[in-house]
Parts: sequence; C-alpha cells; structure tokens
Amino acid sequence: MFSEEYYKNTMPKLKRYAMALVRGDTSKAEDLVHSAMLKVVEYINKNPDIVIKNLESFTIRVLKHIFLDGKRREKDDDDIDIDDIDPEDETLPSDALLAQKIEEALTKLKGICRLVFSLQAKGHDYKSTAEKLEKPLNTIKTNISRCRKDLRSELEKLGIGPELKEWFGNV
Amino acid sequence: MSDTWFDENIIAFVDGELSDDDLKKFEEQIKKDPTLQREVEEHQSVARLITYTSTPETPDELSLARMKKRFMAAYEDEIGRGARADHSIRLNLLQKKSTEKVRGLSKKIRWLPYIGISGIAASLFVFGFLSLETFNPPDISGMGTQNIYRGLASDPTTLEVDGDGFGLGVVYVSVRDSSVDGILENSPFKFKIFSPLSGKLNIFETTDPELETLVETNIDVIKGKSVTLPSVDAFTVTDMEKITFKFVFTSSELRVEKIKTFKVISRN
Repeated sequence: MFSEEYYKNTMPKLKRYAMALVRGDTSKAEDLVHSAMLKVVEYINKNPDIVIKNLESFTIRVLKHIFLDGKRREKDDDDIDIDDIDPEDETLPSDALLAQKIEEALTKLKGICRLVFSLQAKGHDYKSTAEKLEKPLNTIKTNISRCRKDLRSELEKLGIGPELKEWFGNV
Repeated sequence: MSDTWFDENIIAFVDGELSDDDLKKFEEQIKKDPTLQREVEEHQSVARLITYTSTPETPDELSLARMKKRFMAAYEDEIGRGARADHSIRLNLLQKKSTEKVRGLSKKIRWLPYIGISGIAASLFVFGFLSLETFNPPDISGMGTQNIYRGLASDPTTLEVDGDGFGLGVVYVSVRDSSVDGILENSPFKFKIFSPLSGKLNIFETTDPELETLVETNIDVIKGKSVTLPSVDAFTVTDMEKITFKFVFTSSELRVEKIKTFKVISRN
C-alpha cells in the first residue's frame, strides 16, 4: 500500500479528490488526505483479517466520510465510523469518464457558461470574474447559478447524475 | 424571500462568499428546508466536479513530498509513544494482485503486502536504501561478497552466463540489520536479483516439488542489472522450516535456472 508506487499513483488521486471537496483549498485537502490515510492504517491494524479489495477506492471513501463528518460536526475526523464503508467495494469515480462527459456537457452550454466556469476553475471570485467579463456582479451571480443548473441537467442527460451525487454531492 | 435571494445565496454559500452573519442565517435556512438543501447540494456537486476536472491529475512534487513526510512523521510518533514497539503491526493490505497470489500459492507461505512497525518509513527505507548514491555498485560476478548491503543477505555466485553472474539478495522491510543466511520468519522481504542475461524471469516456489507454484511471472530483466521483487508489497514466510525458490531466466537463446533453499529462521 504505502510503497513508492502508492505515493506516486494513489496520493495524487486522493489529493485531487480532496481538492474538489474543499474547492481548491490545498491546505485542507492535504489535511484530508493525511487523515484518511491514517484512518485506513488504523482500521487495517484493528481488522487484520479483512480483505480490502481496492485500497485506493476504500481510502477515497474514507476521505469522503471524514470530509462529510467534519462538515456535519464541524470538528475533526475522530468520530467517523469506518465500519460503514464496504471494504469490498471497488468503485471509483472514473476520471476518463467524467472528463469525457463534462466536456460533452460543456459543449452544449452557452459560451458565457464556459467562460464563467473556466474563470472559477482558475480561482477567480465573483468580483474578479465580473471584472474580467466586464459585467455587473449580479449578472455574474445569476449566470453562475443558471450555468450550474444547466450543466447538471446536461450531465444527468448523459447519465452521470448518480456519480455526481455519490462522489461530489452532500452539503 | 425571493427566488433571486435564494439563488444568489445558494451560489454564494457554495462558493464560500457569504459573510459570517449571512452564512449562519443561510445554514439555519438549509436545515429547515429540504428543498433548499437539495438545491444547494446540486450546486455543490457541480462546483466540486468542475474543481475536480480542473485540478491537475498530478499535484506538484512539493505537495506530494510534504504529504509523504507528514504522514511518515505521524507514524514515527506512534512508534515514539511505544504503542507498537514490538514490531508486530501487520497491515494486511491485500490488494487485488496480492489476493490472486494468495490463491495460487502453497498455504505454507503467505505473501502479504506488509508494513512493519515503522510502516511507511520502513518500506521507504528499503526503496531509499536501494537507491542511495553511496550504495555499493552491484558485484556482477554474483554478489560474491557477503554483507555488502546493510540488511541484505547475499548469495555467492553459482550460475554464470558469459561472466555475468546471478546474484540474489534478501532485503527486509522492517529489519535493518541481518546477517542471517536464511529468511526470517514473519519478516517481510523482497528479493534483489541480478540477472545473468537479458530476457524474462519467472520465480517458482518449489519447497514441495509437487506443488511448484509460480510466484512472479515474466519479469523483464537486463543482464548485469538488478530487479527487486515483488515490485509491489513484500513477501512474508510463516510456519515453514525451509523454503525453496527456483529462479528461471530465459532469453531467445538461453534458459538458465538457479534453485535456492533458505532456512526459515524463527524470530522468537
């Protein structure tokens, strides 16, 4: 698990997923990855006979649990119940599939949506997005709201609504 | 409250742009209103997906190094507290590949992905150790010098092809000093093998000749160069007095093999 290969291959995926959950906050994302890895080690130590079919998938699920639990309780990850996670579950969000679907969905949106998303992805807040696009702040907010709804609708049409909810949902 | 108010606050909430006061109010509102909660979640998931797809697949080296270092330090802390000072932590991290191996092997030997007391640190030690600049260059006459590697028991040459010998070392994951000419029981290890030819290597466990088991398949090898196997995880031997391996090297022209029996040494 924690071989060089693990660090090279899995840790980047964990961090990327954590970055999505915390919307680009590097420090929080690294905290999440750290907590998830430790939690998995602790779990394995306590349950030496359990076979984890896909360690990467399991760790990502643990990470998500920690994140959601932290959100719910507004405190650290100590209380997550790792036993709720099925060690035999091997499913993972498929990067390739997501990338393909989101690209497809984006092409169906208005140009302004692609611009807004692109600026948001680069870390622009509302104000600087409005300045960049030379539009009133309120218009930008409305655009963001509408574009997200449209994107979600397109993604659902493309059949990845459940994945979206499973991996990126929950308040 | 108007739809616009909701819309603006939903996206501001999702994007972390609400003031503290507004945030509190809005959170209260979300708790009370399942429809609002669902709408927030829908925005949230799309926003996260966009962040996900726009985040580079490979984080910068610095970030990875920082996370690795921090994680290793957390492990060292546990050791410092003495909670696991008996070197007995076994992390039964069975990944798919390893699970398949378990099925295909004699029950006497368990091939476990394993991390010992120093866990990550120890396994990294192996990799780091093998890649040190100061590491003695391999003795391609067959690692004929004993103990040239710390923590590695080496085997003298018994097989040579055009002057390049077969070399075999046992590198332990969690035991730093070992002079034993055998394999320590319950001590995860890897083989470091110098190849006498360029081609493929197959390793069989042949302790019981009737139960010959292929444990590493079609590994690419280069004459005079080493491979460390298994490339992922480590081997662990339990409940055996001895164990025999057959190393078979094949090229388009040659097939050579080396059989090696190790005593299994109890750590008690």
